[in-house]
Amino acid sequence: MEIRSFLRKLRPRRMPRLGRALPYIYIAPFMAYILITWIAPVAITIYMAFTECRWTVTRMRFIGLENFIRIFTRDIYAVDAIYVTAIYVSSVLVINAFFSLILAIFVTYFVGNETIASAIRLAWLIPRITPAVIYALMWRWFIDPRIGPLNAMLKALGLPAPSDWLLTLPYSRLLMIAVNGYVGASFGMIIYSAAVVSIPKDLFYAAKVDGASDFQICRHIILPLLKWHIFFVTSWQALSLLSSYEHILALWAGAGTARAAGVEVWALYAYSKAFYTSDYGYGAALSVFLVAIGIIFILFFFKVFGFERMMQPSRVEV
Amino acid sequence: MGEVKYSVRKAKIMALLKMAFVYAVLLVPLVPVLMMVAWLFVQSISAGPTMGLIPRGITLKNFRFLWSEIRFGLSKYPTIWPIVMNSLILALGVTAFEVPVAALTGYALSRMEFRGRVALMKLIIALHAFPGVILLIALFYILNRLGLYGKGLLTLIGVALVKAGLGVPMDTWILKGFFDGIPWELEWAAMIDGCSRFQTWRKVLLPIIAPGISAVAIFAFMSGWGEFLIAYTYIKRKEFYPLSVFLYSVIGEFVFVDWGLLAAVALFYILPILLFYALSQRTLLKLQLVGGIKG
Amino acid sequence: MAQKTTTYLVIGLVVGLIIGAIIGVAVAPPKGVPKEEYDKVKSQLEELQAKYDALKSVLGTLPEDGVIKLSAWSAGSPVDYYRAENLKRAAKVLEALLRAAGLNVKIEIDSYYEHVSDWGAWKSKFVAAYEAGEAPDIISGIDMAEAAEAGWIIPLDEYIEKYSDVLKDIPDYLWDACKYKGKIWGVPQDVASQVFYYRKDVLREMGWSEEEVEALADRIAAGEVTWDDLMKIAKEAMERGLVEWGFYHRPNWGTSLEIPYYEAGGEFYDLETGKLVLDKKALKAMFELFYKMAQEEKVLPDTMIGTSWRQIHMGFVNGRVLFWLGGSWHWGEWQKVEYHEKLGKLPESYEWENIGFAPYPALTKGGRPAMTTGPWKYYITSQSKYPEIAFLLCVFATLPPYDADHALTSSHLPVRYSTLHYKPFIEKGGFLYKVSQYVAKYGITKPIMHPKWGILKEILLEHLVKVEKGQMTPDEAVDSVVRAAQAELGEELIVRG
Repeated sequence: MEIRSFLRKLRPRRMPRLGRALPYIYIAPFMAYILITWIAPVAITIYMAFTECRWTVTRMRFIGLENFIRIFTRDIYAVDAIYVTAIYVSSVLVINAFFSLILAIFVTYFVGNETIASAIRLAWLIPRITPAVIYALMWRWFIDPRIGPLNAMLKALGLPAPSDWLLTLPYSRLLMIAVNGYVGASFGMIIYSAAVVSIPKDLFYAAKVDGASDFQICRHIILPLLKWHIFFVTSWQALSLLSSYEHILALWAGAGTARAAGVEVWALYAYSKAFYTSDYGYGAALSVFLVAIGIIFILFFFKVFGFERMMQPSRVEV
Repeated sequence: MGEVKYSVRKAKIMALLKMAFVYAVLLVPLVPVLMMVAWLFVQSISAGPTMGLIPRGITLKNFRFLWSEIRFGLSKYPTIWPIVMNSLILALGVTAFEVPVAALTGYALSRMEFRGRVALMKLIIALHAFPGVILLIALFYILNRLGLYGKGLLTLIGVALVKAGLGVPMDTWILKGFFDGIPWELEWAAMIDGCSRFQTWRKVLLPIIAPGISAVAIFAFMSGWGEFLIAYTYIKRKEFYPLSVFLYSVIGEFVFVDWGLLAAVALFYILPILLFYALSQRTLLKLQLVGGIKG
Repeated sequence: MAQKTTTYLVIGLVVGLIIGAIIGVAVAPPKGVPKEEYDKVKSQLEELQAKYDALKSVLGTLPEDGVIKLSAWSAGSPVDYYRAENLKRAAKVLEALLRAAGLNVKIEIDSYYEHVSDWGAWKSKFVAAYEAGEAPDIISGIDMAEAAEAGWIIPLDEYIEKYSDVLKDIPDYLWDACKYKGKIWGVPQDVASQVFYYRKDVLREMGWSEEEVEALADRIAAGEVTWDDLMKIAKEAMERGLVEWGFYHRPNWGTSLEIPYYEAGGEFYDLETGKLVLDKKALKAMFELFYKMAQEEKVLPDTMIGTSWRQIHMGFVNGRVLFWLGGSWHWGEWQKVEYHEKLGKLPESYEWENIGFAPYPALTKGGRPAMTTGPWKYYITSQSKYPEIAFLLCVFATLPPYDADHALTSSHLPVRYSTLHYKPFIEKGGFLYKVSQYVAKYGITKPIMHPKWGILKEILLEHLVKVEKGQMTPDEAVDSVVRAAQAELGEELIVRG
């Protein structure tokens, strides 16, 4: 509210020559938030990664690189966790970034009736907006070999139905991908749908008049226009997936079980080290490692996708 | 394109097949989700626990928490509405703290040239690489430092503030996309008419990006509505528990659960979000994260 | 009624002693009393006088208005709510005692109870409160070794010494479980004991006579019937289609899975050095048992870990499973949760009719069967302003009537010997009475007081899954567990065998 009164004082100046300070006033509250909820915790976490910290942040003992040395030399789960994370991120990303694209084009371009399209989009949003615990509960029912409908359906289709989905490889990993894929698909779907909607309809009509098929319209008009969206969704979701774990935790109900099931991703491993075995320092080191990988991802996206072009203002200020 | 011979009938069949394929891709994967929701619903109106999709006698007693006292062992909640109220305070708090800030910053990033602008945008993306998980410990420390432990309403507001801070980078990014889509001329014209920069922002631009505002408002509301861990850890008295913490006590160890009650509470918990989304579909379709498409 | 009366009796007795002591000391030696006899009584009275002074000294830090405010956080499953309720009742007792001693005080206790399902979150909640300087006076449900190391809780030896006469009917083995680094950090609240259950109705269907069915428990207890014998019975029952599975065990790590390891002579914690222990021979025996059950005899589903609790209970309660590696509290749980598809909650008469119980069988013929027991503990936090009062509340919370109420509601064993002789308990606690008899004979307490035990548990669970799934042989699992544990725990682990 200080901003408002401050700006009111400046009102007599008609032209937007409020000096260099104005942009900083606009971003000041943002910076304050970021400082409290991001910068400071990140700094504490990074520091914590170099300490032995077993109970609370107020009791840390500096041990230098010891935690990182442990990750690379003595940690017997690190390699597995990386492997699982790689499978997880890459598979779910296919659903989140590409299958969602198909969904978005189908639901926006092909389904004419807006009410039906809305209903379908809403249904796809359900996994995302359901709290993780309830979502996990519903899945537990669905995959239950005894009472759940999944195996019954598989059998009816003549497909193999494992006696147990949670702990048997490769089914447990399929389950992990499906559970998270459902959650992630809607994000891309919304963004792509919005993009498809914003394409002027004339373009489609013109193409139709020229005799283009729907497939050709998708391939030659929609896809090129959605290039940036695909880049964005891919990179954003890659980062999200890298650090996500809560649905795995909720469904496998504990880190020990997730490890045995072969679905313990790196983020979950870090979480379990910190919160279940109270090894906060090591958990922090594991997350810092994850962040390092995330940063590499980002640099990669910036370079390969020319992400920086998104940073340009849409119009140059006079 | 080669010359295609076709009869009207064949074209119709082709069109039908095409639509069948489209609907199959859209709907078949949805079957599990819909079944799960159906199960939850059936469970909530079933008199006894049911594992299939057929209720064991239909009853509304699972929804009794809406009008009568709720008991868990010794804990007694005279009514659920104060808890709903807490959740609303939390969710609306997050929205109120988050959206204006995101709108201001999004505008600055889209429209102003200043030192550190690109760096800030990069920072926003980079923040996304930090797993929220582990920040929790440090966040706990900061909340303590702010003296927000066990202060009832104040703690709720503190939690809202932290949640808003966690969500604001993403929202800023979304709103920047919306601002990018507005022709610069519009703003220019307003300023020539004598509006200050702030007035232009508020009176001309904000109404135009209303869809974007409501989209981020929904996201913010949802993150507040769903918040569990910080609220559970920092709120001392159960009068100030939000619905998520309440739900946690219903779920228990999956052992003592009254399944009907659980399903009913779960539905009650999801419903507002579902409704919100249903009502805001059109808004969501205007989300532009990477600038508008120029035809 | 009976409970109330006894409560008053207990209060009356203690109060009477104190008052008697004061009067006694004040009075001059009566004539005609032998000197010896007089001295004995006098010294007893003096002792009581000292105790009274001690009680007064407890209140040295009394607030002006005489109102002592305390808070307690208790946790458990919904039937454990007496953990909180009994503290409130204890506050009333203590208040009455202090008033009777002429001290006008009021004790207000804010006793909070929660049905916890994520113990990590529960700990975070406590730590947050502690860091804010608002920790409750009494806490339970956190790891003792960790809390002691962190300085969250205080050692209680001094108080235990001081009030030994109201504590002496709590058995030593429970106090042992409260020891860490030579000090006692907790007050026992109840006792969890593992109990092995079997379906009598299934055995009858297999053609066993009533006597044979009833005798099974004793034969298991005598070490005549071993795990192997039971596997054979289970296999037969499965082959004849009477049950779907022979055995069920818990879906995550817990003491019941450790029993075969203890039976084979292993231990996980070395009291001398305070280090964690892995005994390769015992580890192998444990893995071999579960491997045999799941992979060779196929009488245990290989997907046991991770199964939902509800499904497990429904399987056993509805007679689809013959043996259940459970705990005493399950007997109570089946009476309170609708697991039975027709009956819903089980009446206790149904349980007596159809469900038998015994210690966990021995590994070899003539070997010793076992049941692990361990106390639930109240701790006093280091932020408590009235640690001694808080301690007394924890002590009075297990006065026989309260101890009995909790035991009967939660189907845990009481902590005091006297409760076993408390009439309402004898009347209603037939099951617990019998279990405590077994415990007296076969009970073993294996407290593991190491802050890193959680890490070892995770490793054990992971390997148990692999063994039961047949992805690892018992030998491979032993090697792999040792390797993993050495990497994770280093110097803090001793490997034996």
